[in-house]
Amino acid sequence: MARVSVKIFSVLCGVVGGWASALSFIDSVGSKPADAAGNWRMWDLAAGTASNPYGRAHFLMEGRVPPAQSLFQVYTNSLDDDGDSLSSGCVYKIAANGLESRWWSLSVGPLNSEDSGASAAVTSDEVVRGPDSSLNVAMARFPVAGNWIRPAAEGTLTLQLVVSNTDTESGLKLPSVQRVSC
Amino acid sequence: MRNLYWVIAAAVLAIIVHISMVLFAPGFLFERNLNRMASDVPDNTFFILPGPAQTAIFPEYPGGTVFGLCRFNLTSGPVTLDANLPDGIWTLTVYSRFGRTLYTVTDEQSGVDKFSLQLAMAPSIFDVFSLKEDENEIEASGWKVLSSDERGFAVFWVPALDRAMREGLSETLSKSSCGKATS
Repeated sequence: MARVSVKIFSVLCGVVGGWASALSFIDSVGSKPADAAGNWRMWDLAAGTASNPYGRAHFLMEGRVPPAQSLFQVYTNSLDDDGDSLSSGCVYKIAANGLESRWWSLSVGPLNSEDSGASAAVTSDEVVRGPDSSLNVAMARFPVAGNWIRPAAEGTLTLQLVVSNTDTESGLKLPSVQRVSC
Repeated sequence: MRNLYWVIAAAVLAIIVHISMVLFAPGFLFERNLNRMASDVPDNTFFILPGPAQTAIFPEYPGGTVFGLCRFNLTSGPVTLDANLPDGIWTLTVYSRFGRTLYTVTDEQSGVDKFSLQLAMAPSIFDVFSLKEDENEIEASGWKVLSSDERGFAVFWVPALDRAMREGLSETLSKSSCGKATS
């Protein structure tokens, strides 16, 4: 009886350990810190022999198409500037200076495809900039004047910034994320 | 000693599960998802991705964006992708069926909005050695992508200023086609 228990325990440990380590590695090895504070993470989606299977798995597991790294850089952030998790119950101000890429998109997840009223993304095509070319986007569940993204789901949130690759080499300054109220 | 055997067995099993989860499961999950969303579209057919499917596969892009897809199958020979794109920003990315990027091109790189791209199977090692000299010539015109996977998909991406532009962009992009190469 004891031997059977050891066998079952070993198999369970192997399956759960392999599964948990894969999920953990997909997040940690598939991306790397992209700014000094380490809140924004850049996903490694290189093609060919340099491809990172963990980075690709992050997108494919959710049924999403991984953007080609030769075209876009993908950054995600689930923390505000104070290091707290982003929450749907709070209002945030996302501010950037010098986000001058040819095309970019700032979105908030997770997505809820049944929430047709969600405006979970804003792009460089539609954003309104300040006179000094600065950029401010509010993230809140209720309408806010100016640039606004609305989370489609409740709970913890993740921001995603997709930037076309044409001028990222010149030094992209990633937006700050400040909590305004909760 | 007997317990050590089971510890090693558990470690080996963990490694196998880990590798399967990272290398194989994501591709199969994605392919199943894509099959479910485009189940009524045959292979080697170009189509504009409907809004709900677009939101699920490309959630980071706003609703006005247009995505055109061709799921290609090279088992019965090369496939030609004839692109008809609007003026402005666009990208084309060719993926293997498991989401590996095979080829990318943008409006800036191509300089044209109408072009043909041939998708063909990459020669096996045996083919490389057995090819006659004239069969090894690079085609003089058009672009060619060699895929080691017989199935995959090509994605056109065209952003729009707002949702109102989606219809016009879709109309232009829908003139693109994808089908078995004639020669």
